[in-house]
Amino acid sequence: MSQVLVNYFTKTGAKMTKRKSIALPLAVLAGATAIPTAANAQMAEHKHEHDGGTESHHTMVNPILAGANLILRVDGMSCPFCAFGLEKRIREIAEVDTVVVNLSDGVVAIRKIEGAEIDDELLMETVTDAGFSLREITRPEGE
Amino acid sequence: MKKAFFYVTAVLTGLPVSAVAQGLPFHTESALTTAFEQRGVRFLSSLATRGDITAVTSKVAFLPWAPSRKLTTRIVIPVVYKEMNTGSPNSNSRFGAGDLSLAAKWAFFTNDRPGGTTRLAVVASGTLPTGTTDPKFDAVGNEIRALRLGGGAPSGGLLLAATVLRGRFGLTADVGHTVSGTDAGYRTGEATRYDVALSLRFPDRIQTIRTRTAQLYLEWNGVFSTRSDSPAGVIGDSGGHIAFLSPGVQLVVLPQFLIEASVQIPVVQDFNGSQPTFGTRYATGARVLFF
Repeated sequence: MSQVLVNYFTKTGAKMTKRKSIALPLAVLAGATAIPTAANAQMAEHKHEHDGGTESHHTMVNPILAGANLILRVDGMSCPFCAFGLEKRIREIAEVDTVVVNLSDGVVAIRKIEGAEIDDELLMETVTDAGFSLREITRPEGE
Repeated sequence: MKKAFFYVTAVLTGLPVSAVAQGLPFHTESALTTAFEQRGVRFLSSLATRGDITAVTSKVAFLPWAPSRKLTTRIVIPVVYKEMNTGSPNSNSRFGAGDLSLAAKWAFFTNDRPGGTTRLAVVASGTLPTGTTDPKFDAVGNEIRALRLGGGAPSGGLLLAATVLRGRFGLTADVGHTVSGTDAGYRTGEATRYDVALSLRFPDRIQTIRTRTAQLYLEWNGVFSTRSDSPAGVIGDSGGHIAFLSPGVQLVVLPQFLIEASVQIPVVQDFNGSQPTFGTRYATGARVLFF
């Protein structure tokens, strides 16, 4: 049982780290901060100045949901009929404006209501209750 | 032949689990307990023939209670039409409610990965004798038990299901055992079912869950049955091994709605004694998610 560091970015771009007890293959660990294939096509890597110095990360131009504030990487999704329950549950979160599920990439893109915050624990609970495993939460730059 | 009709009844009505499989394969029980299992309804109609008996069964499966993602329940209400066509004035038919079945599924193992999952589940199921058992008699006054719509006795079963999904490919298998109670000295033989289903999804990549998809299935559905009992003793012409090769297709029209169709071709009919053979079975259905 290994642990993976789940990285995400705050609104100010400061990097935060949170531990989640999720077993992952090494290959997945290596790509833990990347967005899967379809999203990669429109994702540009660049550098920003932060309080702690220069840091490299990704800017999200999400291809499945413009203006997405949250990108979830969800394991276990293989059929649309199953994934629909996940979309429905996420949509029920009051702070969520729009949600799009990309099945092949295992990506859930969420656009929040402006000014709202969504707690990671709530997202974890929602995905788990829908019958899937949340591997990573990414908050694109500027959120 | 009268004894054989009893066995026909058992086969046509005594497989409560196979007809209500709630995973994505058509006839094979899945270990998945997501979405559909938690809020859904399945409609299924099948046409089966064996010997002189034709049975049309329509079932509605509800998923009333899912206390957690690992534990789901279901209720299946069948409506059955049966007809015995002997080509003589003795032809007979019956229509009404079949046996109500209840089931609970517990997914005890889950290993999710990107684009796939491996899951194991156990399913406990039971059938209640709610179906009509009023006797129908032939010209000489013998009851045609095969025309009963219900088994007349409760039955219970336990089943182990495994599902492995990797992208567009899926493998599902189950093995289960069902035991029936006694009705006026008659008892259906114990049944051990086994199923394997291979699936292939089109298109390969799904951009969003709004993408319309089709799934092709090839299933092997088999049942071993022991001999049944009657007040006169063990029925020699009962029990055996039946297996179907079952190609099928599902169309996910909307994320919350799919339609499906399957043909079950009997490829193994290794029965004890002298028994009528099965014909090809046909089934169509739809599944709807309600939230």
